[in-house]
Amino acid sequence: MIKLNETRSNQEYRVKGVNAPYELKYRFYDLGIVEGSRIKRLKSSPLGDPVSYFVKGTVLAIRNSDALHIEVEEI
Amino acid sequence: MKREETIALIGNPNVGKSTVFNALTGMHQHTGNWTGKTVEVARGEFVYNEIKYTLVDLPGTYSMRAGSPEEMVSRDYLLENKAEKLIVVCDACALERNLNLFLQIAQINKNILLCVNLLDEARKKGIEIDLNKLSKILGVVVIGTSARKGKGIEEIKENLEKITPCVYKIPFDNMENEEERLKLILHHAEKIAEQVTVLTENKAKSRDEKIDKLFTGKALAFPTMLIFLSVLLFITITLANYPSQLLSSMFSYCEEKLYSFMLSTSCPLFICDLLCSGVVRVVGWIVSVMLPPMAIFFPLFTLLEDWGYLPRIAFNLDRPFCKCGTCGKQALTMCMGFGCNAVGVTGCRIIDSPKERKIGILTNSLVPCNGRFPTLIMLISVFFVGNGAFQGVKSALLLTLVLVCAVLATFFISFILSKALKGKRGSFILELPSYRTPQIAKTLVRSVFDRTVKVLLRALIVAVPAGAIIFLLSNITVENISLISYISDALDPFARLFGLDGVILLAFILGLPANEIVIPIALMAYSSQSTLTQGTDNFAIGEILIANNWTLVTAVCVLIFTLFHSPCLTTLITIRKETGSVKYTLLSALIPTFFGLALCFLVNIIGTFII
Repeated sequence: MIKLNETRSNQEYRVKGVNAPYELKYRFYDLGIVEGSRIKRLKSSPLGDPVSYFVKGTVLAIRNSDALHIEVEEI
Repeated sequence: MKREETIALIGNPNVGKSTVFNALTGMHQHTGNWTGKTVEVARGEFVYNEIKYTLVDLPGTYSMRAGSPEEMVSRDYLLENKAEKLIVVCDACALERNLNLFLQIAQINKNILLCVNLLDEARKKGIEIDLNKLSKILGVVVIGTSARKGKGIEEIKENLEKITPCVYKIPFDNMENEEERLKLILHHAEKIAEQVTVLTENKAKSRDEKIDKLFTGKALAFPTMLIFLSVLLFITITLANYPSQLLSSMFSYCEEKLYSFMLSTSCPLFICDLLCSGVVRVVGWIVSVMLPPMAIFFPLFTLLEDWGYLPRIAFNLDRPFCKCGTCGKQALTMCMGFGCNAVGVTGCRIIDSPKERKIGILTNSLVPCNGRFPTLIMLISVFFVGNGAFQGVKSALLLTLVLVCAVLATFFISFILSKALKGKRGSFILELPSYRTPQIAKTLVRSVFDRTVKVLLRALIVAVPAGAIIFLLSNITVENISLISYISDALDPFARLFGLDGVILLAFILGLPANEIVIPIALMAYSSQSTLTQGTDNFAIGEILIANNWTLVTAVCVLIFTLFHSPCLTTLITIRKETGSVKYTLLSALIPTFFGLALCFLVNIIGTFII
């Protein structure tokens, strides 16, 4: 199991757990990031952080320091 | 009319909710948004089948849970039971996530219509939605729309009387834990979306990815941002000249005619002068010099926003903002500030962390709003570019540089504030919506019209009394010296320290209600002291200024002070409303003013030293 910020571009993953503080965890839930969701890393922003991901039909930009709360597994 | 009903429109951000709103209400709305984003509740009306509907456009929200203040507006509105009916707008491309919000809202027992929008876009992405099946599962009326093309809008109207509460209930079984409930709703949303979505080949996604490579790629992201900005400014500067000249000659013609007409009616000479050389001239200056650049820049900027470029700016700039202790969403509110600082301040609701929101609000007026653009353009073209070749290109590049400086100042002050203010750091998660072809004709017509009317009204409300006051100040004399000379002479020694003069400082003080009138006030004050021929194009203005001892140093200092001084009255009132604190309102006025004065002081010392 790895953290979302350690993933590779254009690879799809499955979310295994969201271990953030409540406020952030619920924000991830709102955006469709929950145990079992598929998430694909797209590309980094020009300065390396944040990174964009494809989740449930939408593209989300997530900062690395927030992404490290999400545990994923390669599909 | 049989009866009246209120309908609330709610949905995730970026689902084309405002497009649905506009398509339903036409032009009959009370508050036009400055930018595409809905930050305040907009209302509109339409009549169908003899029922008068009031449509309320709520800010986009991801959840009914209390999140950011922007989302609280929507949540509170629904919970306070203010609307009889709800229209939930969903994005067909991301049905699952949108259904999550729908299911949360459906727990409130209200008549709901589900509008699945962006069907055309979904089709391009190879997504088909079985609307009938969705309607059967949920037990509510489901209408598919492509609101940009106006498809499905009539159907919504036809079905408004038939809508019912949602039949689909989630079996919470006394579930107390909020997290468990949220997860269960998500699970149900996934199940439902799975049953009604048919996937085929996706053609559009690769297009978005290609564009993103260009706009957010390592090498090209920052150059493209600068190119976009300078091209926008170039178009604004070049195009604004023509209407400016036309309006200017029109106004001097009117002034002349009015003057001779009033003289012929044996009206007292003083009143004639007050009205013509006072009121009409200041209004003329504002309308002909200030209005055209605003009327051109703003719609162009709205096009970029409609297209979906602004979130990419936030994506690119989050890193530097993060280093300064804030987040990339501040890039968005900063961009809104280019339109109007008051809107930028309200826009700060999208920033989740209270500390970062305060910083966003306090620094918003460091970027020049539309009302200050014409002053900057005038100063640059008169004092730094001149009358040579490539005038437009040079002006645009210099103005870009000035704006980059304003952005750097935003970083700098944000950094200091993030050290000074208490509070926790926020997170940064932002949706990057698909690129959408902007509705060029509609946007242009709408914002030119909206903007023009607004600025004209403001010109009348602010410029008319300002013109009269200035005229009185400069024509009421005590011992042969006008009142305005007394005041500006008193301010002069102080102003000189910062490379300005008494008149300019006075103009900035009197211009507090609206930045647009600073230069006209200064000109008025100057020309009442000297007898110069009146012209209203940039170079005639330049002549007046140079005749009043403006040097290059003066121009630079005025330029700096135009960028960094107290926000206008409207913005200050908005800040008071948004923060609920007099302290922050004062800070938001003092911080930029001190920063501006400090810079002017430095420039003045260095400038005088060199020259």
